[in-house]
Amino acid sequence: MMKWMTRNSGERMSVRACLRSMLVKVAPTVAVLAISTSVVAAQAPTLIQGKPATGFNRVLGMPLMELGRLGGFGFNTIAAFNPNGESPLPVTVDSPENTLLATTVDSAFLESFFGDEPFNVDPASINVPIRNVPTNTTPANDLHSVLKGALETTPYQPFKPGQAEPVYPVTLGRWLQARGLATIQCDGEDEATVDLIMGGLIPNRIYSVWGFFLPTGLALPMKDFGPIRPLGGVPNIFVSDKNGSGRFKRVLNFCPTNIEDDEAPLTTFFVAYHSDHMANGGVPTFPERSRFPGTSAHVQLQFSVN
Amino acid sequence: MELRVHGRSRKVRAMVWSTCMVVGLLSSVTGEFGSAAEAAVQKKIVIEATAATGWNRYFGNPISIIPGRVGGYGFTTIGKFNPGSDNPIPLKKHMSGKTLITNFFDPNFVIGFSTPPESIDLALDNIPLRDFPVDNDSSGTNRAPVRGILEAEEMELSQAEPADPVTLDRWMKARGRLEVTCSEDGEARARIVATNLLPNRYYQALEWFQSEKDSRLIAIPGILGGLPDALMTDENGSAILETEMNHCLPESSDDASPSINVMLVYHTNHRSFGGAPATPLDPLQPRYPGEVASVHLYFPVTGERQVPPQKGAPTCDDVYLPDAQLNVAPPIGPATGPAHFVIGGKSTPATATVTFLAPPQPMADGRLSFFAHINYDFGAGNVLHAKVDGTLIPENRPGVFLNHGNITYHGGSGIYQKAFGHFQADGILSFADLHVSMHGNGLVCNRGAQVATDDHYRRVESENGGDDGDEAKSERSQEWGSGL
Repeated sequence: MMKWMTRNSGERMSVRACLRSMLVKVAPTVAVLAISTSVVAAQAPTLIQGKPATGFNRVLGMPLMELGRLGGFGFNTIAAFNPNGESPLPVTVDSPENTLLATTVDSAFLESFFGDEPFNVDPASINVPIRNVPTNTTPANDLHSVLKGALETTPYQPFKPGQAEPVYPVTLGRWLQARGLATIQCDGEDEATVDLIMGGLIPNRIYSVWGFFLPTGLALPMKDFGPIRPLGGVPNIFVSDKNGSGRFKRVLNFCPTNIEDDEAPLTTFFVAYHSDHMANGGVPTFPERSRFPGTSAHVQLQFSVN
Repeated sequence: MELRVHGRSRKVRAMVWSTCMVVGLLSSVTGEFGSAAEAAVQKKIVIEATAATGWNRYFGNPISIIPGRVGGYGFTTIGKFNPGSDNPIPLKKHMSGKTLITNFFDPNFVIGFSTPPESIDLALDNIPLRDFPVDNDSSGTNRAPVRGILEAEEMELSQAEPADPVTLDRWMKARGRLEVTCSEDGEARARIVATNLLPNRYYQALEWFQSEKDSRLIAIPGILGGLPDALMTDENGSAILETEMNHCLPESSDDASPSINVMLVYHTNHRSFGGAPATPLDPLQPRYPGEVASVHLYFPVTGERQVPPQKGAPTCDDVYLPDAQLNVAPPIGPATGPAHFVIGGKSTPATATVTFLAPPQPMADGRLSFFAHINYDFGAGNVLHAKVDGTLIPENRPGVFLNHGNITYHGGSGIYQKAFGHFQADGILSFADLHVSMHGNGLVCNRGAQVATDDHYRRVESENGGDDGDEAKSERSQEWGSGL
């Protein structure tokens, strides 16, 4: 089977077709194409184009893909700041690019991951502009500090640091600039390498990368983040550079594009921005400490696999 | 050399100068960071790191004797695994390099930070670093060890490879270099280049201050620059952090509280705690220095250094683009057809052989190809990887093109290297920003934009008679090199 496909809006293009297209468009590239072709034949990578997201399987309130038997399941993790109320407003296709983004907790997440179990969403953690999400700065882990920009603070402020520059407000237009290209290269059926190259992210910030599997018997509620796993193991983190670019490369213990019978398909993986500047080990957030997806972690890119 | 010690007491002033002598503060008028701080650079400070076994600790001894209350104070954060015991064994320099490293909670921490001993609820000590449990549920209180992903089942919570045991030899191989460029306006830009850290792992960069006014704490932890002060090492264990600071070293706005040190902390639980390295006072999640955070690289800022830096501190200089080339601004405004780039720099001695690979990949909007044409005119050289990405603005439609290429050569060291290529565009585009990162010998050094303008390319192409062969390409490269 021909591999190394690019996936864009569900379309697949074989490597051969891709190269043929390139050859037509780019005349003076024979030498490099020859090199590349030889590499392709040996490695057969799969290319997946990431899509900007405003939630898990959500962009502007709409599903990004079909998640098998879960259909268009998803939940929003960012919303529009509402200066006139306590609750943020949804971001939609009609939201202007200068919409200031804020925290939110989507009831779809609560229903799917908590079911009838009690949960406690701190109202103060909702409708907070993304740059103003509080974090911990003390040994007590109090999670209450809202940070100024590093250059707005004065030196030697015990337990009152700033946040890394730049600290301009995060708007919808800026958020949707995120782009990514994933290269998955399988080594047999039991091992693969995934390599994400990303741009248009928020500069100098922590991101994490998560896989969403679809195992047999998956049922609601999906307690403890259900089938969401750190992609490639912990720490599944990268830090965007000053230009908003990022790189994440990991070894996997399965081939996402050639799942064996006893394995669960990796349907998608996604990149989450951590507005509280904190990474949380094996889980995206700690909902039982009132840290929900949407109040401290926000999906910005998603890659469709199966 | 003129150091700023505005308004300091004689004692502090003397201490600063002492520090300068010890740690080798260097003055420089060169600006290397390409930022606002570059405009009026006052001085440049370079500090090479000591691979550490704790906060101001090198095998139980102080790395620096720090003025004031701190003196030779410190606490250890790693130890030797002690099978069958709850307590690890303190590390000694003569121990075998194969010694298995564990976390290590040092009671000295209690002394220095006024933590009531009865409040210590240390559950985990003497845990080999790779076996430290990871938070694994919504509560943030449950945790369990995780295997390396290649040992784990598909959906098992695992840790990234490599996950082999961390030995003393492996730990002490870490090297680091801190450069701080200070401007006259009081701001500064710091860059840490580190190698031989644990690959694919999370580190945090901290800066500690003296604490003369706060009697509870012997020193005040702070972060370097702003949050997140995070570094992720790459698959080689290399990492770079560049951050803007609101002060130069060792100064602060408080005369009594100059900086003591900068350090890189490894987080055994793969978590971060915001602006704190650990959370010993958290009633729900008490996490202690030495338990979840281990000092790996220590950069003394003030004090009399007792332990010299290990040889081989890395530097980006050998792989950075020369500053002269970086002065070329990216083209502004739309352009059609191909855009071009030139990258160059000196590479460090080769350690690996990797075939050049720059597949022509579709761009984010599917209209661009990348690295469709590339050539290089470097002679026998060394490992030099090039990555190019940037922001593409096709007529008010924001976008990004992305790609990555590796260029590898073999041979001697210190040879000036250059590569050039072009992007092929089917549509109208302009490059608002293009940046090139170059990897050499395990280093990852990001440098700013340079793109030859389309007109420039056409001119060269015309001079060379259009699409050309290798000879003409070489000439083009030379012209770009000299012209930029």
